[in-house]
Amino acid sequence: MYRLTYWLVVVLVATTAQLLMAVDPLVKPFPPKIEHPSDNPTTPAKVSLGKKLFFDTRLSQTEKISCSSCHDPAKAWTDGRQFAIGVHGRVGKRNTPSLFNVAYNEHQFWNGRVLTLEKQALEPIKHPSEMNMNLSKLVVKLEEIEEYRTAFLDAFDGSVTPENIGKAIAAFERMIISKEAAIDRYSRGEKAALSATARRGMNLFFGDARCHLCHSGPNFSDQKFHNIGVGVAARDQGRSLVTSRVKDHGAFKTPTLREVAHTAPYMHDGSIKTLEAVVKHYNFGGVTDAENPTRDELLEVLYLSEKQVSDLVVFLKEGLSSPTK
Amino acid sequence: MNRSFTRCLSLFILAILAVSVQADDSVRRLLYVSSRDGAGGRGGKGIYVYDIDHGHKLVKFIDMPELGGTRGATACAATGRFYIAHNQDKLLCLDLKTEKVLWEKQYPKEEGGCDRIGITPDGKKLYAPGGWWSNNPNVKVIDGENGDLITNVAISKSGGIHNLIVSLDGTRVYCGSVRDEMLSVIDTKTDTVVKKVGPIIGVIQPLTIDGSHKRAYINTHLYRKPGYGVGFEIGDVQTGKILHIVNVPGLENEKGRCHGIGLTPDEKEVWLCDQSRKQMHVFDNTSAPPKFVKTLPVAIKSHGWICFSRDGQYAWPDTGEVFDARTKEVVAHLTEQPNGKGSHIASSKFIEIHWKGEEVIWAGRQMGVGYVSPK
Repeated sequence: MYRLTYWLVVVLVATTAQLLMAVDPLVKPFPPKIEHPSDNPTTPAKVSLGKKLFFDTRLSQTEKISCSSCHDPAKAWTDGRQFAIGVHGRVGKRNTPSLFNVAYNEHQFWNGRVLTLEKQALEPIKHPSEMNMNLSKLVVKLEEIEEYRTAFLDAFDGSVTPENIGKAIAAFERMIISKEAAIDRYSRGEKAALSATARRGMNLFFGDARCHLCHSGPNFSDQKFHNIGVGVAARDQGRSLVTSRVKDHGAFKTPTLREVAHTAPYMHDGSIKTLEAVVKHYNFGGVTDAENPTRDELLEVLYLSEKQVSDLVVFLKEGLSSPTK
Repeated sequence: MNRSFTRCLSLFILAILAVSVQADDSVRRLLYVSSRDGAGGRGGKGIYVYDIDHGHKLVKFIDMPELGGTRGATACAATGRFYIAHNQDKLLCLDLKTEKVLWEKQYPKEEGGCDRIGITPDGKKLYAPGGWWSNNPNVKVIDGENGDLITNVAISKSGGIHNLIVSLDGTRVYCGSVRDEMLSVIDTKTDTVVKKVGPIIGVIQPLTIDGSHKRAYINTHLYRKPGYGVGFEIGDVQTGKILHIVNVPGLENEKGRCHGIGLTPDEKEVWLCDQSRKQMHVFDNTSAPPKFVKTLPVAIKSHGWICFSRDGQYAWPDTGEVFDARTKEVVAHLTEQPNGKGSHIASSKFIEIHWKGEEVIWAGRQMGVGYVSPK
């Protein structure tokens, strides 16, 4: 009897271990806990104020542009354009990144020139090509609006300051989290969550296509900067503008791939219109017609066939993005 | 006084003439490096020409702004022509004497692209793989005179035809697909596949052949099989069997794709590119299987390539470094300026060309092939 119990325990332990190994997730559980900064703890009132500010065109000099003009929730928090269009039709120089999962970003902007969301939130408001608003004037303007006076009182101590504007918008932006994707369900053991084609694409993603080397972690970003051979001819300094290091020339932040099917066009300069073209770009090792001595060493010619390119795109669409409505 | 002056002058003139004649008779060895490499090189668009016997100093730069990323280069001494496959689907022919482009062809997508090209010694037939990026299953046989397509040779149903060598005598073409485990041998008389070598582990990447066409040294994807790691395979071209799987000691369990393999012209050594580690591994090829000798560091993480000067003195990886093949030391760099200064030039599409006076008398190969003739 004891012997039988002993063997039952052995079998049970072995089976449990096997099961645990079998469901060792490709992707860590999503979404991870949001870390709110100690100097800007989140509150419903702050998030509510941030949302109000985010969608308010009065934050721009012309009163025609709001944060949401470029970060449109209906377009996966992008504008769907190559470059953002600001006040007076002024065109920016970089593609509008999605706001999905910005709570997890260690750096803000494509070149990471700002660390916190609180500081980042104020930059487009001030930028002459975006909202072109003087922050002192904005404070005066908001103080004159009753609903904002009340909202700032609820969220803070009542004082309308640029710092509190940034904090409120940041608190709202931290709530913008992408939905659970098929890859999350698959990682939990729901094998039917991905089609056979998407599974082939997933194997490439985590294997020969080397995507996971940069698009890693639960948010599919290593939080680093890479020169991937895009926009080299335009001579955008990228990360080197911040670090002054030659090797960072043309390097930009790895964006999340969650909801990637809905965030076209792609790359920091919005120069690639489709996911197919993105994968083809990487298939050739990020080599383009322009000379690029600081191309990231992680990039290699992938030798993917056209079918493999197609499988990988299916995974990006089906596995990492919500179904198209 | 006048007589002795005249005599001296005559002797002086004769000496100068003699030196001139001697200079005309001497062989000038130049390295033609086509750029910019489509697999990620460094340099402008055109051909950098280096003097092998004078510290690999830049002699000239043939500006060719029309070049897309280069995919392959080959040259023919018989016709004095230099060919560059570029932009995935274009093939360009340059007259080496005049440095003028004689013709350029762009092949329709359904005919596949142009990858690592090769040419028969008489210059009549060019062989162009359809391209690793293409589903086209063929090697194109192209008229070396005008670029017209002669025929296609089917190699692999799944396409991905990438690397290719025409044998020294022009009778055989060795070609592989990056989606196939078999190396194909084409008979250039009939333009048919007469032998398959393999199966290898993974897929065919760069390769080289000994001078007697008996052994193929192949970059494969050993890392895909546990315990094989970094190394290469040797196939028997006559029987089609794989003879040896050769590993780098200590790297049997490491992952890393080797791209680039070359035999020294005397076939005594095999050099293997290990670009993920920025290394070159050297093997003694006088025994079978070859024995590991040493590892050399290289300057940059390049796509991976290795070739040797015909006399075996120099080894040229695609990092822009020039190694003394005997001492294994770096002795020069390929640079963008004639004085050896400026940025390093990096490309894996280069050909050694020998000139005698105004004539091309010999042209090397892209791959570091063996030159030991059959006994």
